[in-house]
Amino acid sequence: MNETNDNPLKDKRYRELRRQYLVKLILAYIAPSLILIVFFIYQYISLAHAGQVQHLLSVAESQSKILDIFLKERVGNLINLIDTSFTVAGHNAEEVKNYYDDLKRNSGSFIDVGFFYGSGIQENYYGPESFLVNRDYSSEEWFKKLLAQKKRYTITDIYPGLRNKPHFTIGVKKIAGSRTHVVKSSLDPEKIYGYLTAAEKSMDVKISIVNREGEYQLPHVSGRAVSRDFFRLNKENSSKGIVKKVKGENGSLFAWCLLTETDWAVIVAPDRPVTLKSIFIEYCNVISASFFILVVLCVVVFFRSKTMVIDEYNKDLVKSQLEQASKLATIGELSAGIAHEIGNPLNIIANEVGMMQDYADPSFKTGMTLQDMEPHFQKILNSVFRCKDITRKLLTFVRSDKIHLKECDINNVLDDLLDGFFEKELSLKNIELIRNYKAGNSKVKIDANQISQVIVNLITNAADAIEKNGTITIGTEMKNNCVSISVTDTGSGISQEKIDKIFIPFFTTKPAGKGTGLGLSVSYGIVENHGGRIKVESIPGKGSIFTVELPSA
Amino acid sequence: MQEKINLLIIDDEEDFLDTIAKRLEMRGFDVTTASDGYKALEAVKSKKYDIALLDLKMPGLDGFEVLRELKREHKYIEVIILTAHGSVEAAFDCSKLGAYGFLTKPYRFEELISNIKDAYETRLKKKFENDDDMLQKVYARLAGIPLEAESALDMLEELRKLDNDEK
Repeated sequence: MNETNDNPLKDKRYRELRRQYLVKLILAYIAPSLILIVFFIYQYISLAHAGQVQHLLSVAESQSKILDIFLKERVGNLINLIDTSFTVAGHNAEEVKNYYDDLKRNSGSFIDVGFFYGSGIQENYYGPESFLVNRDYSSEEWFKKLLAQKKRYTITDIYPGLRNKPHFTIGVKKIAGSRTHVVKSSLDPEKIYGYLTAAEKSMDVKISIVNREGEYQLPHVSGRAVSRDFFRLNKENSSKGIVKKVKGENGSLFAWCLLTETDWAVIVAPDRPVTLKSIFIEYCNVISASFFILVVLCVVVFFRSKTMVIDEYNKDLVKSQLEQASKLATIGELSAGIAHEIGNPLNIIANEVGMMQDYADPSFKTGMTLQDMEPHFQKILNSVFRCKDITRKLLTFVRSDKIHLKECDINNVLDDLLDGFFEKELSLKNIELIRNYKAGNSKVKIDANQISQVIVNLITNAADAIEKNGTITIGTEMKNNCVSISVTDTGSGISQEKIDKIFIPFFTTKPAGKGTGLGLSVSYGIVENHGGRIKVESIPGKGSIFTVELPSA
Repeated sequence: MQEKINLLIIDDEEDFLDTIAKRLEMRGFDVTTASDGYKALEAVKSKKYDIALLDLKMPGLDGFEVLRELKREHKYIEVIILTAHGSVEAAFDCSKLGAYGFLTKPYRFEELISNIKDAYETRLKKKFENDDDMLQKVYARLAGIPLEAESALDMLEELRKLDNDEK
C-alpha cells in the first residue's frame, strides 16, 4: 500500500478496479433493468395497441351495421313504393310528386324519384333536376345490372353524376309479365355521413367509406383511401378486419368492415396517425418513469462502485496490517523462545566466569592453575556458539514482503530449519520429531524463508496440539509434479466444525495470549503466493496431517 | 546431626549443574544435583532438603509439576525457581504453587546466595511458627549479624547452627 495514498480513488490500481466494478454493476443492474423496461414498455404499448385495435374494429362494425340498416330501410322504402304504385299505364305528375313526398317523409336523404315502365327511359321523374325526365338509362351500368340480376335492388357507388353533386342511386325493379318496372332514387350521402360521425363512439376516430376499388365514397374526395389489397387479402369471406400498413403517410392502421347491402366498406382509422412521436406522447408517463428508474440505478451504481472500491481498499489495508501484525506476532512468539534459548547459555557463561573468580579468590585456597580451568573455558566457548547458532536461525525468520524464489532442495531447507532449533524445544515437551523424506533430491523454486515460516507455524501448531508426549513427522514426497511437505502430529486433532475455520485470520483454539490465530492464515497466503496449496486432514483425538503442496522446479 | 544446609539443584543443563554445584559446595552447602524432574523426586525420597533450586523448562516432568510435588510432599522445603523463561505469568504461577523466589537466568551469584538466605530464614520461621522460644532465638541471632552484602553467607551459617542446635 502506498503510504501517501489517502484517497484510494486517485490510485491507478483502484481506478482500474472501479472501472471493473462499474462495468460489472452495469451488467448486473442496468442491463437487466433496461431489458425489463423495454419489455414492459413493449408489452404496455402492444396491450394499449390491442385495445385501440379492438375499439377501431368495434366502431367499424357498429357503423357498418348502422349503414346497412339505413340502406336496407331506404331499399325497403323504394320496394314498398314500386309494389304499391304498380301500374302498367304509368303515373301522372301529381302521383309522382306524392310518391316523392312519401319518400321524403321516410328519409331526408332521398333527392328524387324516377319511374321506368319496361324501357330504359325514365318516363316519370320528380326531383330537383327536371331535365332528367325521359332520359335514357338503358346503357347505365347499374340499370343493366339491375335488370340482369335476380336481386330486386341495386345500390351504386357515390358519383358526382350529371349534377356534379355527390350522390348515389338505389334502383329497384318489379317484374310484371314480360315487362320490368323500375323505380330509382338518388340519395344524398352527406346526410348518412353526418349520421355516422355524430355517434359518440366515433369521436376519436376518422370514419370513411370506400368501395371495392378502395376509392373514397365518404367523405367524397377523389382518389383512393386505401389500396384494394385488403379486400383481396380477405378472401376467406371475413367481413371485417384490421390493416396495418407500414408504408403510407397516413392511416397506417385502420379497421374495416364490409357492408352486406352493397360492396362498400366502413374504414375506421385513429384520429391521429400512429407515429413514434405519437407513441412517445401517449406513453410519456411510462417512458419517463423508466428513464427515472434508469437514472436512479445509474446513481446507485456510481456510488456503489465507489463504496466497493473503498471497501476493497480497506480490506487491503486490513490485510496488510494483518500481515504486519502476524509478523510481529511471530516475532513475539519467537522472542519468548529466544529468551529461553539465549538465557541458558548466558547463565552458563556467568557461572563459569564466577567459578574462575572463585578459583582466583585466595580465600578459597583451591590452588588451581589456568590449565585446570580449561574445561570451564570450553564451556564458555560452547555457550557462546550456542548463542550464535540461535541468532543465525533467527535470521531465517526475517521475512520480506517480496518473494525471492530460489531453486533449492526441499529436504535441505527442512533440515536447516529443524536442526537443533526445534529438536531442543520439542524434547522439552517429550515430543519426538521424525523426518520421513521420501522426495529424494527434489528441487523446488521457493522462497526458503517464507516456506520455513510456514513449516514453523505448522510444527508449532502440531506441538501445541500434542501438548506432551507424542510424535511429529515431517515428510516430503514427490506427487504429480508437486513436492508435498506433510506435518503429521499425534495431537488432539481438529473437530469438523473447526476445520473449516482454521485458515481464517484470528481464528484460534489456543488459550488467550498463547496463539494469535494468524499462523495458518499467513501460511495459507504464503503457499498460495507460491502457486501451491495447503490441505488438512484430521481425526479428532488421533491427530492431524497438514500437507503443503508446491509446484516442483 | 545435620552439619550443612542441604540444597537440591534441578536443571537439565548439565554444564550449568556441575559448575553451580561446585561453587555452592565451596561455600559450605551440601549440594545434590538432578538433571530432570524424576531424578529430583527420587532424591527427595531418601534425603531431606532445606532448599531446592528448580528450572522450569525441562524435558519430562517440567518445573511446575516438580514444584507442586515437592511442596506437597515436603512441608518445610523452600523452592527457588531458576529459569531462562522469565515471563511474569510463569513467576505468578510459581508463587501460587508456593515457590519462594523466582530468578531469571542469567542472574548474579550474590543474588542467588541472598535468595537462599532469605528462603532459609523463611523456612526457619515457618518451622518454629509455634515455638516462641526458638523464634525469639532466630530473631536474636539475626540481629547480631551485621547487615552487609557479603554477610548473607555468615547469616546463613548462624541460622544453620540455630537449626542444628534445635535438633
